[in-house]
Amino acid sequence: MEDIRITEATVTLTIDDTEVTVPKGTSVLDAAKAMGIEIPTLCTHEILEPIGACRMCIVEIQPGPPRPSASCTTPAGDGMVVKTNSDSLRQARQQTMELLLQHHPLDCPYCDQSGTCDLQDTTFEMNIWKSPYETVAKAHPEEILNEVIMINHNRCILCYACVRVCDEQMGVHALDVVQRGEASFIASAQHKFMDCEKCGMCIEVCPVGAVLSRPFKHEARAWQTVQMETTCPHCSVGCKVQLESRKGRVLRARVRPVQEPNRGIACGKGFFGWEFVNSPDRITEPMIRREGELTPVSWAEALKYTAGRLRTIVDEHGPASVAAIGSGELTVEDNYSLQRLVRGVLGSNNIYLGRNGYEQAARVVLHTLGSRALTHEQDDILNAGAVLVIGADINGTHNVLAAHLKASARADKTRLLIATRMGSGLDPFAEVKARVRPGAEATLLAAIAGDDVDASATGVEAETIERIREILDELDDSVIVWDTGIWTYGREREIAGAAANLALATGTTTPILLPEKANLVGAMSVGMAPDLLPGPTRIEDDGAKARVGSAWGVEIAAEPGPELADLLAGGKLKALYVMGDDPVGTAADPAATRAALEAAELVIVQDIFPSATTELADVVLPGTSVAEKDGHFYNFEGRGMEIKAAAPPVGESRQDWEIPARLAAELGSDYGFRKADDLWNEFNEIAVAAELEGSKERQTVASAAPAANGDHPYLLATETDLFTAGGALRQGKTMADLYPAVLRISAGDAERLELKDGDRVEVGTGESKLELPAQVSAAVPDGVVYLPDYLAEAPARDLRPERPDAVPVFIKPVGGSD
Amino acid sequence: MWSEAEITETDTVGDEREMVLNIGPQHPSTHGVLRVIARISGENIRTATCDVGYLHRGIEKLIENRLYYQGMTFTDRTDYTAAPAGNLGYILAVEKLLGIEEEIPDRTHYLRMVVMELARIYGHLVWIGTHALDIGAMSVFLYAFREREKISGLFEEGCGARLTTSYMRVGGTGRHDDPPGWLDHVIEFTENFTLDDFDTLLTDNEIFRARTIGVGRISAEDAISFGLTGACLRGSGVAWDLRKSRPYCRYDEVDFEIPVGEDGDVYSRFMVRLNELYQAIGIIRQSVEKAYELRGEPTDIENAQVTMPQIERVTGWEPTGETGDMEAMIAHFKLVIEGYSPPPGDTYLGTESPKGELGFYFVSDGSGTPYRCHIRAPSFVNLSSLEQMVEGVLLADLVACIGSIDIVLGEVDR
Repeated sequence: MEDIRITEATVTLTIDDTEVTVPKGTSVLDAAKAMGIEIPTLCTHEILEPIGACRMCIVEIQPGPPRPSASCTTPAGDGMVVKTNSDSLRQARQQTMELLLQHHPLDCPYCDQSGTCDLQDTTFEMNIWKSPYETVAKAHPEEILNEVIMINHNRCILCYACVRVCDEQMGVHALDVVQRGEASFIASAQHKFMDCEKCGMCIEVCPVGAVLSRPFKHEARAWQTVQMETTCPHCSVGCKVQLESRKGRVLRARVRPVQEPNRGIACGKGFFGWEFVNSPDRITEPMIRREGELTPVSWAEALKYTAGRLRTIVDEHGPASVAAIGSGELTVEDNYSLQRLVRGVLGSNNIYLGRNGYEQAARVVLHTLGSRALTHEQDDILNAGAVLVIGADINGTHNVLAAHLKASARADKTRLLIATRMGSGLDPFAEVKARVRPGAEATLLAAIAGDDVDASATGVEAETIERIREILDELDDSVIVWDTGIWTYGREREIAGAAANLALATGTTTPILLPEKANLVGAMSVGMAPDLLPGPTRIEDDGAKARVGSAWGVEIAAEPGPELADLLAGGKLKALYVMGDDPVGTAADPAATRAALEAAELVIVQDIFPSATTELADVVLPGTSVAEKDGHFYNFEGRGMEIKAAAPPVGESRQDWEIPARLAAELGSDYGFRKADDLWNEFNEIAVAAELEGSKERQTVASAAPAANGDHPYLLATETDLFTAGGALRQGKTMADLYPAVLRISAGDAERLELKDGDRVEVGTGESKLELPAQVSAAVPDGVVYLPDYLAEAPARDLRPERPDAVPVFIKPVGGSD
Repeated sequence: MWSEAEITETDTVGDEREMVLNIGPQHPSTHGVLRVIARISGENIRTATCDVGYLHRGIEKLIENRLYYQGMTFTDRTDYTAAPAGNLGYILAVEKLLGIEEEIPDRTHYLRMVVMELARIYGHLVWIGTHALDIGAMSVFLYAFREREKISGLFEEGCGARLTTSYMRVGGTGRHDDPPGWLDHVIEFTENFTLDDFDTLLTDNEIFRARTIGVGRISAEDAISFGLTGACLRGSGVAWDLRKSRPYCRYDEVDFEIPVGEDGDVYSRFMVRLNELYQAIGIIRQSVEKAYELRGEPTDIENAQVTMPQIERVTGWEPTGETGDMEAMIAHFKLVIEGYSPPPGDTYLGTESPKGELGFYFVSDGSGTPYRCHIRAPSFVNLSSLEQMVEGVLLADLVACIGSIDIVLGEVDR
C-alpha cells in the first residue's frame, strides 16, 4: 500500500525467524514484502484495500488462532511470530489453487490476459504438475456490459478487485457480487450499469482475463507489445499512463506504476482514447496549395517554399504582419519552438493561443489575487476543508480528479459543495447539492459572496446559498474549482471575477482553475500571448526581455502585439502560422476570421487532422500526435509531465517542435535543436516565472443571467462530457461510439414534448438550427437541454459562436426516429 | 586477414622458389568450406595456415536470443554429421544449469546413450567414407553410407527427422522415448552391422598404409598442449575419454574400453576410430538391455516449470475421453511463451562427441534466454594442430591429415 516509514507508532514482529519493525497498522503481508519475502496473492492490489478473498496469502501466526490466517487482512502485532512457508501452508495454498483451477476454462491460447495473468504466474511459480480434481468447466456466455467492457464469468476467480476499484477508487459502484458461494458472480450493483462511467479500471485491476476491454480484444498478445510510459493528453489532470503498441499501432493504455497525479487510476479517455492515433484520416504528408488544390510535396520543397514566402512577407510588410497561433494540446517544447521562430527569427510579437477559457480567467485571478493563487497541488483540493464545484460537472471534464475528490469526501477529509448545472457523479458524496441554471454561475457566486444580486435567476434556493456561505465562512481553507471549458467561453472574466470576489469576501477561499486542455498551463508558461515572454513574464519586463534576447541572440521587439480579434479585424495580417488549432472552426466570429484568413497571403497549418482551417490553408504540414512525440505537459498543478513516444510518426509526419526549427534553419537561424530535450533545457534556463502581487480589488461583474423566453423556453448547456474532449479524441471509433451525437433532455421535458430516445428533434435559436436525435437523461434538469461541443455532426458552436453556452433555444420534434 | 599480395606471391627463399597455394574454400577434400593457405616449395609444404569462418552463422548469438528449448535446434547444425551428439551436450548443460540433472530417470539416460552412440557411429561413418575417398579408396564411401542410411532410418523412426534431429528434450525425452519396436530395430541394426568391409578394404591395404603410417605425426605432449580431444588425442597415446574420466548419463554403468593409438599419425587415429565403432556397438547393446528392463517407467520428470506437458493433457483427447487440464494448459503456455528460467549463475559441461570434447558454457541471468552461450567445438580446437602436422609433408598428405582430424566446418565456424 504505502511506503513503510518508521514512525512513532511501530510494532516489532518475527517473520520467518527474522525480526522486523513496521509502522502500526501495516499488514503482515506488507511487512513480509518489505523484507523481501514473497507471499503469493491473487486479490491484493496496490490501490485497493485488502479483503482476504483468495486465501492464497495465508500464514501461521503465533500467538493466534490454531489455523492459517490471511496475511493481507491481519495487521502486524507486537511479538507476533509468523511463518510464511511451512509444508502445511504450501499444501493448503496448492489446494486452494487446484480448486480455483478446477473450474477455470482452458482459454490461455486466446485469452487477452495470457502472459500477464496472475493466475498463470502463480500456478507456474507454485510448480503444480497435476490436480487430483476432475475438471468441471463452467460455460457462462460472455457478457457485454457496454461499448468498452465485457465480462467472461468463467475465468473469474472472485477476487472482487473490479467491485472494489469501482466503489473505492472511482466512487461509482456499478459492479457488485450476486448469489452466494460457488454460484456467486460479478454483476451490476442494483442494476446500475447505467451509472458505469466506462473508466476501464475494472479491466485494469482484473488479475485474470475475466473483465475484458472490448476495443483491445484479440488485438495483440501481452508479450508482443512495446510499453512506454507517457502522459494522457485528454484533460489537464495529466494522468501517467503506459501505452502499449505493436508494429507502430497504439493498442491500449494501462496505469502502472502507481504515481502522481493519478495515483494508479485513469478514466475512459485515458484508457480508450488513443484510437485517433491510428486513424486513417490523419494528415501524413506536407501539402502546398496549387491552383486551388492541396498538393502533396516533399518536406524539402514545403519548407523552402514556406520559408521563402515568410521571408518575402516580412520584408515587404514588416514583422507585425506575421502571426502565429499555438495550442494547449501541444507540448511545452512544441509551443516554445514556435515562439522562438516567431519572436526570435521573424521578430513579431503576434503570438496567440487557440481559443480557450483558461487564459482570460487566469489573468483575472493573477491580477486580483497574485501569482501564488495560480500554483496549487492536487492535495490542496483534496484536503481542503470544503470544495465548491461550480458550473460544469468536473466528473465529466476532469474525471480522475473527481474520483479522488469522491474518495476524499468519503474519508471525511473534505466537504463537497456541488453547484453544477447538471447531475454529477459527485452528487452522492456532496454535503450540499444544487443545480445552477446555465449562464447564472457568476450570479450564484456573487450571491454566495453576499452581493446584491437577484439570486432567483440562478435556480438555487436562498437557503442553499446561505448554507454554502456558512460552510465557507466556518472553514479556514476552502476552494472553488471550475472547469474553464467551452461553457465559460465569452464569460471567462465574469466567472473568474465572481470567484475572485467570493475569495476576497471570505478571505479564506482559493479559486482553482481546471484548464480544459492538457497543456494550457504549459503554453502560458512558454508565453504564448502577445504580451508575455517565456516564464511567463510580461514583455514590459526589460530584464526578462534582455535574458530571452541574449539566449536567442536577437533583440526582442518591445511593442506587444494586438489582441487576436483586433489583428484579424485590422486587415494587416499577411501570414498566419497555426499549430495544432482550428481558429476558423472555434472562432467567436467565424465570418471575420474566415475573411481575415482568406485575405492573408500565407496561411500555414500544422496539425494531425484536417479541419475548417486546413481548408483555407496555403501550406499544410503534418505534425505528430502525443503518442508519437517526446516532450512535456504542465498539468493543472503546473507539474511537468513527461511524454515519451510510444510509436513512430505516421507517414511523413514530423515532430511538431522540429517543423518551426527547420523553418528557422531555412531562414538562416539554425538553433541546433536535435531532440525535444534540447528545447526543454533551453526553456528551463531562460524561463523565470515572475512573482506577481494581486491588486486585491473587487472585480466588477456584469451579472446578467440569460433567461429563457416564450419562444425559446430551454437553456442550452454545452460543457464537455466524459467522452467529448476535443476533436481528435472522437476520431477513434470507440470514442465516437461511446457518445453518439444526441441532444439530451430531461425526463419531464421529454414527457411534455412526447419525445422518446432516438426521436429526431430540431434545436435552434432565432438565426440557426440543428437537427439530431434526442436522448432522455436523468442528469439533465427540467428546462435545460444538453448538447456537447465538438460534435462534428452537430456543432453547438454554430448556434451562437461568440458565446456558445446558455443560449435560449427551442426544441421541435421533426418526426422520424433513429 | 591476408593481403592480396601475400596469398598470390611467388617468392624465392634461399635457393628454392616458394609458391603460395590456396586450397579451398571450394575444394572437395577440405570437407566443406575450409581454406588452407599453403606455402609450398616444389611438392613439399613449408607452412600451411587455416582460414576459417566461411560457414559462420553466429550460432552462439542465435542461441542467446532464443529460449533455451529453441536454442537446442541450432546444435543440429553445428556438427551436422552427428546431430544428436550436439543435442545431448546442449540439454545436459541446460539440465545442469537448472539443477535438475539428479532427477533425470535412468531409463531416459539409457535411451539417450543409445541415441548418442548411434550418432557416434553415424558420424564416424561419414569420416571413414570421406577420409578414404580423399586418399583414393572410392568404394569405402559406398559401404559407409549404406550403413549410415540405416541409422538415418532409426533416427526417423525415433524422432521423425533423419539429419537435423533435435532429438533430445530438457527434463526427459519428451515424445522421443522409444516408439514400439524401435529398440528391436536398434538391436537388429547392431546385429547386422559389421566393420569387416572397412577392415578388409583399408586396415591392411598396402596403399592406404603407405599413405597414412608415419604421416601427420603429433606427439602426446603436443596433442595435450594443443588441447586436442577425441580420437586425435587418443591416437597419440593419451587414454582420455570424458565418458570414462568425467562420466555423464550412465556411461559409468556400462562396460566399454577406450581404444588408444601409439604413434600419433594418421593411421593411429584411423585405428582408434575404427575401434570406437566396435565399442559403440557394445554400449548400444548394453543400454538397450537396460532400457528393456526399465520399460514402462516414466522418462520425463514431473516438474511443471521445466517439462512440457503431454499435449493430450493440455487440449483433451477425444479417443481416450481425456479432458484438458488447467495446470497443464498453464504450464504449456508459460513454457512455450516464456520458457524455463534457470537461476542466475553459470555452468560448463563437456561431453565426448564423435569429434572430441563438445562443451557448452552457459551464463544465466535468470531469464528465459541464456545471457551467454559458448560452444567449445572440438573440430575447431583439433584443426589448430593441422599446421604442425603438415609441416614439411607432401602436398598430397595434406588431405590425409585433414581427413584424419575429422573436422566438420559447421562446428568449426558455428
